[in-house]
Amino acid sequence: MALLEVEGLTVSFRRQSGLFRQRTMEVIHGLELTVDAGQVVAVVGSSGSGKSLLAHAIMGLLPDNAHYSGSIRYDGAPLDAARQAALRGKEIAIVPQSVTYLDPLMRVGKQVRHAVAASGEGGEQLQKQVFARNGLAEETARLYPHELSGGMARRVLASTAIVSGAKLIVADEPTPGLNEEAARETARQFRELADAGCAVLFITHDIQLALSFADRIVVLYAGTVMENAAAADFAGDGERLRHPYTKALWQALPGNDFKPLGGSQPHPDKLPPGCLFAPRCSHASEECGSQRPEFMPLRDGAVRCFYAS
Amino acid sequence: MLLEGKGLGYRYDRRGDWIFRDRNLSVAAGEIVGIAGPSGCGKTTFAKLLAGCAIPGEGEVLYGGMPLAVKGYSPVQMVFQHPERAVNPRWRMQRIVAEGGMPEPGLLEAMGIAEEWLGRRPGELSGGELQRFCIARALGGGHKDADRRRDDDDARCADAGANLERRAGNREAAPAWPGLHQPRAAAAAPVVRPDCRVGGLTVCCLLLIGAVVLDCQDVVSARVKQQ
Repeated sequence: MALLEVEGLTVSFRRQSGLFRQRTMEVIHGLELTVDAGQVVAVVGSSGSGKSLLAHAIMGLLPDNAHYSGSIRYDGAPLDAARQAALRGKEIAIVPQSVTYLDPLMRVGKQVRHAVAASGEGGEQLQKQVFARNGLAEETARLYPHELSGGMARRVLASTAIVSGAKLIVADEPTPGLNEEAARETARQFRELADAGCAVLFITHDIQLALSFADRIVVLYAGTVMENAAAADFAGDGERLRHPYTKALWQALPGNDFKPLGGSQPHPDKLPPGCLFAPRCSHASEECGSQRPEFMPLRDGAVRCFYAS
Repeated sequence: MLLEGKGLGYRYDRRGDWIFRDRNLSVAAGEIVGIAGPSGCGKTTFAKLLAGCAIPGEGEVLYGGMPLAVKGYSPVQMVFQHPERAVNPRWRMQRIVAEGGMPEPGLLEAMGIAEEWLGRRPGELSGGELQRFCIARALGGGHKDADRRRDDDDARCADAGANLERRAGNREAAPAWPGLHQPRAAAAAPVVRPDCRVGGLTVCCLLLIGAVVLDCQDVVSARVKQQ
């Protein structure tokens, strides 16, 4: 059953340009994804492709000058601002990307216990357990955020979501700065939460880590989903992958061909009229340059490309 | 040009415990040195000492045989782990990147920085985009000026210039490429010297490029940038 359904999500920002004029800049366009209970869905894509904005839109944390349309449904009902505020920290939780989200004036142990308090009792014990599991020493609980190293702060942030008892967890890049073993341990805990019935949306740059434990991989490019694939599709030469961009990502991994893709992602102000990936795509035709492909289901996944088969 | 840390030790409090003591490191121009260690063992602190961002409890940091300048532009630049904590949130990007001196023509473009971003504030950029600015700031023109003041050796300047250009021209991989975090590939990464080991366990965490200190776990992408 789909716990989180995002359909046709579009996010734009209003920016002042000059004294009286305003410009809007659309940064996410027609984004679709679903996360079932018991599932880990990983969102990958280059920086600036809209991954964090997606997370913030789901949690209702977009800044005031942002406007979004489309539908976000949680547990069958629309997730509007009032419901987001009511459920945040209880049924839906986020692991923010930036370590500045920790309260600088509160000891980190207390912050984690505070997250437990939102869902029930036994805070202190749960906090101790989760710290031990994440390789944080018991004394760490008494430290303030500025006394933590980067990797420790990451693990504290992940801990707050892990103990929250939420049914939907959006983890926004919880692993940079962690060594491989610690990153895998973090991933393992999210996997366990999913196996216990949670829905986990895992945003990351680390495709290989994502593949090691996620069920589905959603590939973002320039603010929209290019492909929704099963983790198992990432194998061999990538012949089961549907989109040229996903294939290029796969081939760029050091373990595969380590073959970089030329060019860069288009800026939101200068989006190509047709397929967003067309300027960098080796298979692009005239049609790709003028028309934007729809997001179509294909082989137990979905893709936004005219020529996918 | 040589960056040397001699007998470095650090503690937060004058009566507190030492985080580490008696650490030595030297990095020559054109050399990349990786520093590895488990989280919390002092890699970032060590890097801050080398970059002059923190004052060592004991020992000294020498750049070209002279102590690091206390005031003004430091010839040793540091790229921090969390870009959002390394910039002034109220400044526009233009001003932030200019802190490192005027960037050389082509550097911003090579870093994948759109001109329009220069008018934004840090909160209006993604984490990866912000880090590109921090790298550009560290590679900014201030480097060359500081070097020239310090040292009139033309050959050396030319060398530093070539280094900078090489760096600027090649960061094809950028942080834009996901999946470059793998320690597997990092095993083949630069020079990790035993004498500079801060902690025990081997995990890639920190890099020195010439006189730029990169605090990251991502040795591979840094390596790609350098090639």
